[in-house]
Amino acid sequence: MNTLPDELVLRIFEEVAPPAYSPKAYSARQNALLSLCSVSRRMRALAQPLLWRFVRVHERSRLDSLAQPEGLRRCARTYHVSPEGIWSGQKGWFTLQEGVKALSLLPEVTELRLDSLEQQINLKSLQDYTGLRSLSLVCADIDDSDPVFLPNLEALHVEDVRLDPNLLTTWLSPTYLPSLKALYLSDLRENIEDAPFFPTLSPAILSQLDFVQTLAEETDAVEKYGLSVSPPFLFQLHPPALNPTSSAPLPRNITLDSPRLRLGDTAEKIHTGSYQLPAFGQLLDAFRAEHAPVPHSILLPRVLVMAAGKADVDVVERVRSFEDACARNGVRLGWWGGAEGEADDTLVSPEFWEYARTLRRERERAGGVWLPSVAEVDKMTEYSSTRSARKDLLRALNALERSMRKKGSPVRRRGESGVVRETRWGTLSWDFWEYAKELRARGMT
Amino acid sequence: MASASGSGAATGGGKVTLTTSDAENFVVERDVANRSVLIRNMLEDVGESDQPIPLPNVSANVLKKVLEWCEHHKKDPEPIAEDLDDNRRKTTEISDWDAKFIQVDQEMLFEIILAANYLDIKPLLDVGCKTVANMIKGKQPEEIRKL
Repeated sequence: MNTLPDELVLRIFEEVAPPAYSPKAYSARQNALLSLCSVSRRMRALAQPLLWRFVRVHERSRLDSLAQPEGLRRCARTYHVSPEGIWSGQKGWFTLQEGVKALSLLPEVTELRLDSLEQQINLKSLQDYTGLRSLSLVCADIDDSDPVFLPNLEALHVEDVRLDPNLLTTWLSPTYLPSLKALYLSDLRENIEDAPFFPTLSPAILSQLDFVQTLAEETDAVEKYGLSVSPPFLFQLHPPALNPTSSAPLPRNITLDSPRLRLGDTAEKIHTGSYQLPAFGQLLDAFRAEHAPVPHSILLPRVLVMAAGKADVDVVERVRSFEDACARNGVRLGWWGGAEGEADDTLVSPEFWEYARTLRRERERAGGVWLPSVAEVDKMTEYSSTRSARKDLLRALNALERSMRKKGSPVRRRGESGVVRETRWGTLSWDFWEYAKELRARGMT
Repeated sequence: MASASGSGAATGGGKVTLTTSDAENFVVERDVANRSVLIRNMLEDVGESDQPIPLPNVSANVLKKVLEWCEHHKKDPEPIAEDLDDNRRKTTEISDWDAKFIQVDQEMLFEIILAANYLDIKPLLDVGCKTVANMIKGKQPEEIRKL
């Protein structure tokens, strides 16, 4: 390993000690890093910063200690504020606002998670942290104030939050969040006693997003966006949310809800706790029902099979018949999360994001540029008076192609000799036109 | 002739010659060579050319192995640029074919990783790094020191 440069050793370390979100996986990660630290001086220099990558603050003494270590300043990337306790007299209590303020001590943080017990937060208090790329707001009250401009924010997760719907709709715009790609919204209320609302998303933000995730109980969202293709919406299904006799179409993309891990929970406990199984059975029944509306893609937590492998033969059977049913119905089946069920409980599965990105790329590609083939250039310049016309044109086309590619625009040459390598809807293919003309000529004779 | 190679540059057909550090030449299909982002960019910038592409950082025995991988994966869809998410890299497993492919001695494994990095073949780099990571996992510091 000594022959590898630092960047590659670090890549390997990332694989040895992947990010972890459950307590069990987290301690495994820290132990792996600690043992890397005692391999050699070089390894320690590389592994140590990773030890301090995730910072979580849940009581005042921790908050106060953030100012101390210089190493933390450089190394922390994820900052998680989750004040424990509900009232100010409690030992170790601090406010969410104080927690956010301490972010100024950790300049390298790109991911911020705020998780409180219904404390208040003002969006404006985030305005200095323009480096944030991921933000998670859970169980909080958002003050009526102006939206905040976060130019680098790519992922936003808002769950179980009280706020003004108009504020949210205004905030979710390219003006305030120009880099936003992934959005998770659920359980939003104007006041605590109100029914949940799902905001109206402007066409401008919709065209910018890779995808949106929410719960299947958000009936407004299912109605408005359930069949949305661009961007795709992913709906999380709680066990009783699916009605197999309903004739309403299922959303295009669904996932089984992620089991919330608590301290001491094992993967076995989660699924034998019959949390997953009913939903799973329902999905299966939905497939069996005749003319059942069928979703386009389904994501399941990987923990389901991993745990089942150890504990429950029945689940393995069910998964297998489920896979068969998906294949028969042309449903795309994906898995998310790690083997230990320690999937990040904030945002979505990276797998679905990747799928959404693929879709997005395809959408964008459909708007690409087609350039004439060399044979066509030959035809175009056949009767040209200047000798260099063909060469000039070819050179110009090559230059155009290169510059388009550099800008990331898709460029394609039309196929030669009638062979079309790729066609897209909405693009008129010369080759096909030729072919059509030929067919017509044949029909006439 | 000129028109044939011109279309090659654009559509991905045709052949490309690669020259290794120990001056061996490999003639490969354009599709295969394109798995390397480094080579693909070079070919796009150079345009029409029959010149061999020098790869001064890769020796013949390593390139042979790398090309074997590229050949097998030439039809794979393009990987998606990984812009966000160093925190959340996806946890894919190594495919059976790749696992077999990467069963080489340690020296060769590190050579493949270096070559994949230099040639900018991300999926192959992933396979290599994951393999080393699996060798490290669960080992004591003294054992890791021997790698």
